[in-house]
This record gives sequence, structure tokens and C-alpha cells, in this order.
Amino acid sequence: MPQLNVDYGDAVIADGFFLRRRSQPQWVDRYADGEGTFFRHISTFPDHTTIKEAVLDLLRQAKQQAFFCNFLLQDEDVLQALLDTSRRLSGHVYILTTLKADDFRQAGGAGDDMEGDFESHMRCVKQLTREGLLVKARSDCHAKFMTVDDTQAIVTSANAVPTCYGNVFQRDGRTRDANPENGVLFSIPKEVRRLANYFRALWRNACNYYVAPDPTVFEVQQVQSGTPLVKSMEPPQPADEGEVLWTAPDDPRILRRFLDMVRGARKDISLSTWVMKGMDTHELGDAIRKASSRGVSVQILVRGMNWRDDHRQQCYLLARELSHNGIILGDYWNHSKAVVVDSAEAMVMTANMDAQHGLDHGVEVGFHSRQSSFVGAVNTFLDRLSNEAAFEFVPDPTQATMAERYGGSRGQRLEGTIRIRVQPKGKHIARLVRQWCDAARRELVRVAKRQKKGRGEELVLFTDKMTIHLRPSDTQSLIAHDINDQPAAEELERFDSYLGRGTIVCDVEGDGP
Amino acid sequence: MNYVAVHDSKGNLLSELSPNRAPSPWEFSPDVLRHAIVQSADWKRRHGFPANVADVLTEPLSSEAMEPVNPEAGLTDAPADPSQGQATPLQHLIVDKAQVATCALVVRCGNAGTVELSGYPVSVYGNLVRGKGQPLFSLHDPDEIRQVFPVLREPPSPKEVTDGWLTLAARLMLPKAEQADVRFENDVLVIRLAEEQLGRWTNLIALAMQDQLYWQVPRGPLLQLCKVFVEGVDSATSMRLQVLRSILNLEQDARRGAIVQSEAALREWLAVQGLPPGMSPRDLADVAFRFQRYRLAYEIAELEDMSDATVEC
Repeated sequence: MPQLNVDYGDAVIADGFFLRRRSQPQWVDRYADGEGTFFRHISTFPDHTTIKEAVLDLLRQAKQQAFFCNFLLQDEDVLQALLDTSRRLSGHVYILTTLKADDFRQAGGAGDDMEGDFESHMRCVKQLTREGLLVKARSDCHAKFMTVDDTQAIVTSANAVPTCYGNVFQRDGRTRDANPENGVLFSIPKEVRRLANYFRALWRNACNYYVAPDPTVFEVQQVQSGTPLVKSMEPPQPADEGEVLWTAPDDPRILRRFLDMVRGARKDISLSTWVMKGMDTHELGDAIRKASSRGVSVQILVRGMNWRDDHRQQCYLLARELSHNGIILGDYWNHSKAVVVDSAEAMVMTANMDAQHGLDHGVEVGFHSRQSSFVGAVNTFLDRLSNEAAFEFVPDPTQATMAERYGGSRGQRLEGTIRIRVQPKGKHIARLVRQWCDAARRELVRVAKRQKKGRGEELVLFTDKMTIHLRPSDTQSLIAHDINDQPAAEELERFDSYLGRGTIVCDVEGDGP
Repeated sequence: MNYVAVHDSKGNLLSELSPNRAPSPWEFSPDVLRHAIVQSADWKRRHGFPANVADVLTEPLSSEAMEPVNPEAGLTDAPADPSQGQATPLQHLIVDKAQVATCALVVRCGNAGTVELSGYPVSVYGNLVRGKGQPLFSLHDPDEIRQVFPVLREPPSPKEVTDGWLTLAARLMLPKAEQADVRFENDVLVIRLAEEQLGRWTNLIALAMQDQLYWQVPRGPLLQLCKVFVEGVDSATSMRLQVLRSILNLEQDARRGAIVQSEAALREWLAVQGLPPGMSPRDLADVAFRFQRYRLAYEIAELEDMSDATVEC
């Protein structure tokens, strides 16, 4: 009986993945947001949330007017607080958000359905307009900020969605942990007014759509198309305590400050972002690579989305070029955006490390400061984030590394010697076995247990493009009853684990391969 | 002009009935037709009653009477087939089917003392006038109008109006103050409002100030509508109502866009409204919002809220 052997485990995969960290994450027992005389850092973790309370408090404190800008609006408490404020002030609540499904999608949508869906968002908008609030939208606005009475302001990464404010209990009884989010509440008069005037400029002349307040009619009307310029009146000099920054057409202040910070870094850079896109050709990615090459320690925390190829590819390209003192960490739900350099300056913002949206284009806001109390607060936040991150990005892992460290621990792994008896079926069986074995030598082999109707449980081992379907037999070997070199795409999507280190022995009955 | 809604004999508003839900039990008197038959030709023309109807049969005809009818009597043509030339034994049976046509009655009084009462069909599901605005019937003779609708002979008395109001107010369990403080004068129901009512009666007050709010006065089988006027119980409330009147005027003003374009233009407009001198655009916006004139409220509020904050800190 002809036989084919595959020694599986040592081949290096030219790709990168978020894998479990070698050391267990260090859970932070005691965490408190930092604060100073002019600011309070605010954040969300699964066991801690201060952003929502800060938003609600500010609305409750509003005496003259409230400006509220958020990409998504779906949190019931925030919605009610906006309505209450409007009733209490007899109007004077101004809301900038998203009004078109295309704009929602183009800005990247939400991470998952729990993080916001456009239909639920629009239901909230409808409630607002029905009760007399005018709602406007700018197509490329992804910013999340608010100001009240020109005296206090919040800049935050958090959309007004329950998962950005706390854990969410699902119908199936499971809990969806809160996104790690961050932000700052500040009362620096000059900078609050800068931000409020920025909102005013957006509201007056730089919106694309609006829904008029009306108890019965709901209709999204267009004011203008394109990306109108945002001209706002602002203080000539930044405040000593810090400075509000933004991204607007022809005015990428967040990016410029980000670049200044990274280029000036001497010891370390720590930053967090939800997603990474287009950094391989972007000047920010270039600045980070150069900082790393001159010995600056770089730590980047992102959401560990192995399923998102564009994000993973960017992490791979950057991780390969970071020297030994650079690391990309991943967690389950991060949505925060912050950067600290040399423990000397920090910025929190609403922009991700995204070349397509947020740094060069779109509308975002940020707050930068060199005040030690603020830098310390952001540092503390990023420290907790990195300590608790479950994953680290591993470029070019071996097959065995993938099997050991991919995903959460899922019990027993298929490894060691695996005997497969291939029963002849069709004239190309020998060629297909040979092809599958060749692929298994170079590629990752995923293992999926599937329940087949009337045939019980089967095991599917699949490479990038081929599947082999196996059934247990009386002997120690598995019986291959099908090999497919053109499986449907969905066949290759779901799997339980990667194949562990070992030897695959394929016995082909009948003609030799 | 009065609008009147019709009740059925049991007091149900006919709008709650439909063409297929006629009042029950239903009775029809042939005397109604007999009365029409004896009217003059002019009357029949005006009321669309056929001129060639000579009698109403309610008893079986005797055999002598069962002769071909005289074509000249105008009842019917002589049948071509002699075998069918006689009335059938059941011809005297009246088959009637009740249908409900809910109407809004409109009385127009002309300068020359002419009067016209028209009944416009309205949808039983709402208030949409059907039939392209054509009345279902019209009465021009004052005597006929009084005959058909005797309650219209006299205007409602103040007691009828206020009693009707109090009955409804009690049924709605309105607070004591709101139940009592009404009067009827010059054909208008005047409701005196306290400050706290302004916040709860927002839409109704706005409608009243636009002469679009009517109170239904129960009058026998009809509901006669009379205009509602609101006034404040004290000077502060009266002033608020005056502000609201200004807002409603501004809302309809053809120059609205120019007036709310700048704070200066709005203040100039405010100055001639007879409002208190301290009245600010913000005050105006707040009242507009409270009375659900949301768009105008934002137009006014934005003048101040969207003016850049000073940056010279």
C-alpha cells in the first residue's frame, strides 16, 4: 500500500497572526482614571466605566446649550439624557451624527453588530427629531465629542453605543464585554471654546444632511454634497495645559502632532488604536518604523482581529520591521485611541491609525497635552490595556506555534502521528492526496469537527485551498472519504484549531500515488 | 360659518358608523316619500326628486287596478310584452337598505340674507372630504333648514356651551381650575389658562391662536362647533400668550427668512411686536420650542448658540 508522510510543524508561515501571549495577561485589580486640575481622564473597561457617567453628567449640567457629536447614537440612557436636556433647556441641544447608511459603511461601520447597527441608530435619531431636536450629519465625520455652555468638553473614542460604555448582557445569556475606550473631560476655557467653535463651524456650513425636528415627518434632507471646508474661529495660541486638535479637509492637525510626537521620541512610544490600515505606505507608519530602528521602544495595542485580513496584513508589515524592542499587542475589543511618547506628552483622539480615514481625511478630534498629570493618566490607561491584552502579534510563525497559541484554549488538540487511510474513489485520488500533502508541508492545516446529517461526526483537515474529509475507523487510523481541491469558500471559513506538531501518514489503497 | 356633525337617534356619532354598519334597528317610513311626491315641481327639481313619481304603493293592488299604467301619468312606459303588463303581486313591498353618509354641515350666510346649508360627505375613518368637495345635499330655504335641523334656529346658549365643556372636562378628569374657568361670549368659548396649563396644552393653544380650534357643543342630535379662544389668568400668562402669537405670526411671515437671518433683524422685528422690552431672541426661541414650533425655535436659537464664542481668553 503506497504511503505518503508529512512532517508537520516546523514550516514557517509567511504571514502574521494575533496569538496568545507567552506569559499570562496581568489583570489590573485596582484602576482609577487619572485627573488633574483642568481635566479628568475617562475610560471604559469591562469592570469599570466613567465615560458614560461623564457624558450624562455634562448633559445634566448644561445651562445654555449642548453640542453633541458622535458617529453613532444608540445608548438609551444617552438618548434620554439628550431628550431631557432639550426639554429642560427648551431646545438648545445640537446633534451631529451619521444619517446615511453609505457614510456608516465607509467609515468602517462598527466592529460587530453589538457595537452598533445603522437601523437601531436611525431609530434613535427618529426619536430625537420626533421630540423636537434638529439632527445634522457630515458624511465623513467620525468624531465623538461634546461641549456644554462653552465651559466643559469631552473628547472620547467611545461611540454612544452600549458596548462602548459597559458590558452588555445578551439574549442568549452570554455577556459581551465592554470595549476598552478612553477619553478626556476638560475645562480649559480656551480649548473648550476652540472645540465648541469647531462644532459651530461644522453645524453652520459644513454639514451634508439634516433631519428637521418634526413630530410626524422624518426625512433625511441633503444640504450639500462633497466635503465642505471647516472654517472656525479659534484662539491664536494653544492653552498651556493642552490643545484641542482635529482632522478636517486640508487641516490634518492630529496627524501633524502625531508625527511630531513619533519623530521626536527618544525612549518609547505607546499607542492604541482600534484598527490599522494603510500604514505600510503612510508617513506615520514610516515614522514609527524609523523610531524603532533608532532604538525607540514601540508598543502598539490594537484589537486582535485575525479575521480581518487588511488589519492583520498591516500589522504583519509593521511588525516585521519593528526591531526587537517593538511589539504589537491585541485584545478582544479595544476601541481606544491614544498615544504617549517618552512619558512626556500624550494625545487622546477619535482617529485610528488608518490611512484612508481619520488622519489625512475625514473629521476627527483629539486632545494633546504635556502636563504630567495628563500624560500619567493616559500612561496608566495604556499600561492596563497592554497588561491585560490577551494576544501578541506574531509575524512568520511556525505551524506548531500557530497550533499552540492561536485563539483561546479549546481543549484537546490533534497532534502527534495521524494515520489516514485513503480509500480509492475516482481516478484522480492519487494526485489529490499528493497535492494535499504538498500543501500541508507548506501551509497551515486547520481542523474542523463537523456533524454530517446521517453520517455522524466527521473531521475536516483543510489547507488554504484543499479539504480532506475523515471518519474514524475501528483501527487507529482515520478514513478519508473525500478530498476536494475546489471546496466552497464557506467550507474553509470555520475551524476549531490548527493541527499540532506531528507526522501525517497517508496510506493510499490501490494504485500508488 | 358653523360645522356640524350628526348624531344618530341613539346618540352615537355617525362617524363611528360606516356604510355597512347602519344604525339598528332601522325603520323607514313611506310617508317620507309621500311627502316628497306632493311637493311642487320646483321643490322636486331643487332636491333631485324624480318628477314622475306619482304614488307609493304599500298595499297589494286590486285586480281592477292591475291595468297597464298610463304612460302619460309618467309612472312607466307601457310594456312591450302584454303578459308582463301588470304589476306583480309583490310590487307594493318596499325594500329599503340603510346607508350611512356622515356629513359635515356647512351653513353659509350671504350678505343679502340668503342662507345655504350644505352637507359634505366625510370619510368615516377620518375627516377627509370625499367627492371632490361637492356637497351631498344642499338646503337653501331657511324654513326647510329649520325644519330639518330645528336646533339651528337659535345659537347655543352660554349654559349649553359651558355645560358641554364641564361634562367633557369631568370625563377627562381635568384639574378643577381647568374645568371651571370657561365662558361663552360672542359665539366663542373662552378658556382662561394658568401658567402651568401652557406647558400641557401647547398644541391646542397654538391652534386656538391660529383660529383653528373648535369646541363641539352638543345640541340635540348634533354637535355644533364654536371657536375656542384662550386668554391668560394673569398678566404673566397673558404675556406668554402674546409671545406665542408673535411666534405664530413670524412662522407665517413671508419675510421669516430675512428676519431670522441675523440677531439684529430679529430684534428689529421684536421691537414692533409689542412685547416686553427685555424679550431676547433666546426667550422667543424657548417659547417657540415649548409650543412645538421646533424649526422656528432652532432658527432663532442658532442666532445666539451658533455665534462663535469669544476666543480672547
